Amino acid sequence: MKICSRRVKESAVAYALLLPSLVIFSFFVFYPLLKSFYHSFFELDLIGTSTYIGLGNYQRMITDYDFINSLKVTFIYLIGAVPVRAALALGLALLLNAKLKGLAIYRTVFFMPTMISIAAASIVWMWLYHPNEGLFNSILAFFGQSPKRWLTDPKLALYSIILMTLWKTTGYYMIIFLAGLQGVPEELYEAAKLDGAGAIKVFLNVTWPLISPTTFFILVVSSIDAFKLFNPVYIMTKGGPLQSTRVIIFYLYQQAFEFFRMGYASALAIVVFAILILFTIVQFSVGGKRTHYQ
Amino acid sequence: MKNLSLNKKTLTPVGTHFLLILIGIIFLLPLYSMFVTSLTSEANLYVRESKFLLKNLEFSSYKHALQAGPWGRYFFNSLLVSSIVTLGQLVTASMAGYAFARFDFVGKNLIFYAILGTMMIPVEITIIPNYMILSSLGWLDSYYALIIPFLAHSFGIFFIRQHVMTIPEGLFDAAQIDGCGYIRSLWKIVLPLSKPTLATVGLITFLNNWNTFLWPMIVTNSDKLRTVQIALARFQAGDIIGVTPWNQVMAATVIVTLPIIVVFLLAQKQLISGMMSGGMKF
Repeated sequence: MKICSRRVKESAVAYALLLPSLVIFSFFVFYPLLKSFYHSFFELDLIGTSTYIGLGNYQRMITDYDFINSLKVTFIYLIGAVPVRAALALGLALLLNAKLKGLAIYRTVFFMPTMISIAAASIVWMWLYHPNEGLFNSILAFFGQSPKRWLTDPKLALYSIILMTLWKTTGYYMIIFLAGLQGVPEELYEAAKLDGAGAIKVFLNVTWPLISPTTFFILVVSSIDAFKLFNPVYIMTKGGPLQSTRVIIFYLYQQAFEFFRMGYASALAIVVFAILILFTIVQFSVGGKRTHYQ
Repeated sequence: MKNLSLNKKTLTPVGTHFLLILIGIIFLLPLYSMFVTSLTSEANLYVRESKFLLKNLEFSSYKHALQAGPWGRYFFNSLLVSSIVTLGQLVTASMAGYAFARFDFVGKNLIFYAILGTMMIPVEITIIPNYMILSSLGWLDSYYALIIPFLAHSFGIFFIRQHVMTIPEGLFDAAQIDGCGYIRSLWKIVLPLSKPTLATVGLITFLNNWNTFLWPMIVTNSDKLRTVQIALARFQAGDIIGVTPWNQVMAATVIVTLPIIVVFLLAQKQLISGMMSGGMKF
């Protein structure tokens, strides 16, 4: 009896402690998700007039060229940004992992862009990419090269955004890699050196396997993050030129807040959510096997 | 001297520094351009050298940028919202993290995974129904819309849970013998021992909320509720005073960014060490 009532009391207190968080999550995360799902079966506008259309929105999606295109753009962005960013972050972390004096300054420099707001960063890079007065074209002009239309060339614009993202977010992942690198035991490096292993062998056989949980974590988080790209597109290119930077979330935003097709936008949101989950599951099943845990 | 990454034969200390300086300069270039441009006069904007050289600097663009709108109000809004959100998250995350770390209860795993799941539900996806919910509550264009939805977040919960799990069992047992109940243990044991963790969570939460863009843009409309980020974006886009010259835009960017850079430089040790020990692994 005594144990029973103690467990009940423990559960009650735990729930009381969790209540505030759960209330917020229920109202602003879980309920909206369900509501989105519900709305996706309707045609809905801002005023609230709604018409039930069953799977109409989903059917429309399949033949919606703009939707498919935005998925394509998102994936190009993902493939362009995620591996490069991870490699860059790892490279910087390796450099900074050396026990040399004064490395803290570099760490600050590389991490600082993460602190700047995405709005500020986008605006600064818009200036850098300015066709006439921007820094990059000024540098090109200095070397006698012709200026590039960084944000107005459909073939270039998405990569310009990728470059800005790399600048802004690599530092964050570098810190995470640094944390992972510090978890590698000294003895393993010493043993490898005793065996006469060169730097590359040490990296491939000791470092890389042992930081694989970190690498895995970074790839998953980094991918989810890349999927959510919105702010730079909104500020720098508004999806253009010629829809070459219109990523899926921006497309969703346009459907909801420029065309007021709330029902369709809700369906898009549900599909994006499903893709995210699927993508993460795939990453877990592929990566999970390759991750070594000590 | 230990060199855990690259063999001494591959990259000497001098080599490492050289490479790092090079990369460092590349990283700083955008910020350098931002500063130099903000101090350039409008006429000089079209002069090539003014991008690189610190010649003919003046503060006129700052004056114009500051006069363009109620920046005091914008900063007040950002400060108010971010502070309350940070405080709120610290409270809810402490309670929830403590609950997960020290309690056993029915449905514990279910709730844990549900909260984990919220990390997978990006704001961008729930923004539409949230907009409608806020609209029906009459909260659109109010501080409530900017604050209430963010009073809890999975990040802080996991961070604090991770930390509380490292507090030795013995301390809690001793406290219990002394007659401490569950809540007093939270107050007397967990919180005092969690100061660095709470500081890290607080810093990260504040910075993230200060920098957030999409949500305030969609749920607020009137000038008196604008946050600093939205004001900056509108200033650049010419929504406030027509097409804005870039030196003024950069000045405004500096004004918005400088406080964060200062806070970061002061708190970087705490922030970075907090991030690195925060158990960011699966």
